[in-house]
Amino acid sequence: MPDRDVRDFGDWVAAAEPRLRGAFAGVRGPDDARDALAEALAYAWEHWERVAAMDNAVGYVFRVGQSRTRPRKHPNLPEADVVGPPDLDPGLVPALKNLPEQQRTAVWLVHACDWSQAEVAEAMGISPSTVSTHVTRALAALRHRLEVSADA
Amino acid sequence: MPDLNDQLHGYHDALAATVEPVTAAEAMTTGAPPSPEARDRRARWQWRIAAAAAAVLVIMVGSVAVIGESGPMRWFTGDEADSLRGRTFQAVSLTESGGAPEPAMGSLTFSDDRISLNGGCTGVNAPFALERGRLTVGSGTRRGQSCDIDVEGPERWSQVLASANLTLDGERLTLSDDTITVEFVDQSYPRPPGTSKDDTSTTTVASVARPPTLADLEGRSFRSTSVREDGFEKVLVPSIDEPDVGSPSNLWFRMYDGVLSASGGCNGLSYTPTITDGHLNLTRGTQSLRSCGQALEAQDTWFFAFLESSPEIAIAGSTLKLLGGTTEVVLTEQAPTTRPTTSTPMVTPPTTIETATTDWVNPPDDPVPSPLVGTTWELVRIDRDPTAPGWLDPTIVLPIDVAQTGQASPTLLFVTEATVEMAGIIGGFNGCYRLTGGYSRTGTTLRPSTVSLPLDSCAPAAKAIALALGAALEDQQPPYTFTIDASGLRLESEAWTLQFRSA
Repeated sequence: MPDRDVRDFGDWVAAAEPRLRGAFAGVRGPDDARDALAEALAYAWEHWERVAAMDNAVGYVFRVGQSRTRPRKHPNLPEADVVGPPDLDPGLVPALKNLPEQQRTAVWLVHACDWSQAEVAEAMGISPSTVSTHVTRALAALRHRLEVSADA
Repeated sequence: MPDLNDQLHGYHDALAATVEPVTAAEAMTTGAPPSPEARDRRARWQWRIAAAAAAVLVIMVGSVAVIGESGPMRWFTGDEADSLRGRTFQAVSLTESGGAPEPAMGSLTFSDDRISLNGGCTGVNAPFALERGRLTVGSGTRRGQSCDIDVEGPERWSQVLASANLTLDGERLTLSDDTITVEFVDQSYPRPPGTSKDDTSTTTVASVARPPTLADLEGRSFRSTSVREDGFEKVLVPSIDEPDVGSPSNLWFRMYDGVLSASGGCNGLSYTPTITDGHLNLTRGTQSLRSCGQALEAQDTWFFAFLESSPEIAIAGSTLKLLGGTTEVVLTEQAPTTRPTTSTPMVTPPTTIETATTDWVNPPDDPVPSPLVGTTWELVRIDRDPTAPGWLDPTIVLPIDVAQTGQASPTLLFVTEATVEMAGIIGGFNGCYRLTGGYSRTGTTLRPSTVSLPLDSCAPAAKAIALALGAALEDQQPPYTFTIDASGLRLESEAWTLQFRSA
């Protein structure tokens, strides 16, 4: 492998790894996130020439990480008081767990990870309009459960 | 209290910080090592297996002391156990410490005095005792020391039930100890006369039934009811089309017009069969190319390899047995279902299906239209009723006449038939990315499902068409009615109208 590829891959990982780590942490839970992350990055390296040319490589390899590892039925998300900042609503984690998987993934990637809807569409293998629908419904459900203001 | 967005960000940052980063160097060494959590999990299960083995040993020693004068080692098998003998139970659900029930994997088979317990990667074949509802498992052969993550969770009951309370209510069996309650359902299969009940792995097929001729198999469809390897019931990965966890009915084969089609739960493969000296010999034909995940694809590979190993074949009534090495597959004939209307098996990919006489809506006096399945359909026009309920990305301007956009037409391909047994597969190419998914069909009503149409690297004009097609094929759409005539394929729903022509 040319040194240039190694350098490019290293630069890409430096930027993409934190984004993917945060994404998998919420979607798979911290216990399983690292395995999915490792699978995703290993795939990126194995197919670096193709991945490097992608407009949305992060979304693509996220999907690879998802498909290469087996999800739990419900991700093991730790309660807010275990990991979270002190001002986190204790109802947030149960509310997230209560969401359907697609809605939870979409709202996590868009609002917690700040991914664009196009990136999320690629990551989930669905259209941006469906992402938007999932996010809207997820936010409504979260707000309903948390009774927080609708300015998120 | 911060607003919802801030809370999500806060939780994200805290959660991400708990996950150990993966470096580029780790990724470049063909994947990072398993996480500490995964290692801990594995170690935990290995410890449980060791503990269970030790418990079994203690029980066995104690029991030998009690029944030491009863001659050869034989565990209590009183009347209480009669209702269990010869029956196989598949695990259905697992409830741990008052939690919610989860899917479980594995099986229990009771013979005269032995229990065969298979969790998927671990197994026990040992004497059992049942007294006043308490099941104890003696010393026997064990296999498997560590579990792949795919089966680790669903089979965890198998390591802790060395001694458990058992209740049997008709077809349902429940095992429980202090920590786990596992529900099973009876999946016993009808055994051909003369078959030993307690060790089928040593029974040659030819000794209990006659080898069939190809004519015996013609027009018949069989599904697995039991799969054993080395005497252990093999736990199958649920078929993609039958999501019942632990369902044994994942392997099937059938023969029509001299072509044998088989599936291991995901893809289908067609064969040209011969039967010589009681052995089934297969020449591989064509295979569908569905993506169903590693576990199911591995099961397909395993089943196809087994079929291609020239196994012994025997039939007794509606029960068919295949035996190769120490693997035995028992299949039971299915009630006649809709016979594929194509002369080519359902699994045949489109390149060879073009000559098939698949059903279609055939208007009189028109040139012969193309069949729904196997034809590459090019999108001509897509439109949506603007008054139809539902939300549509406002950037999609409809109707789209593809020819006027100057873009290549996206294609849609019904790769396989949708039958009672299996959902159909659709694929296609939208000019920039491949489309994959499934569909179900009843008569001329058709419903796409789980269609994936990634949009990476599409040019803007092609992306608009792809977006529209993706939106039209999304899940939860009202079903489409399809018609085929000489002008092509037309899909119509409450909202959408899609016109395709044969490529």
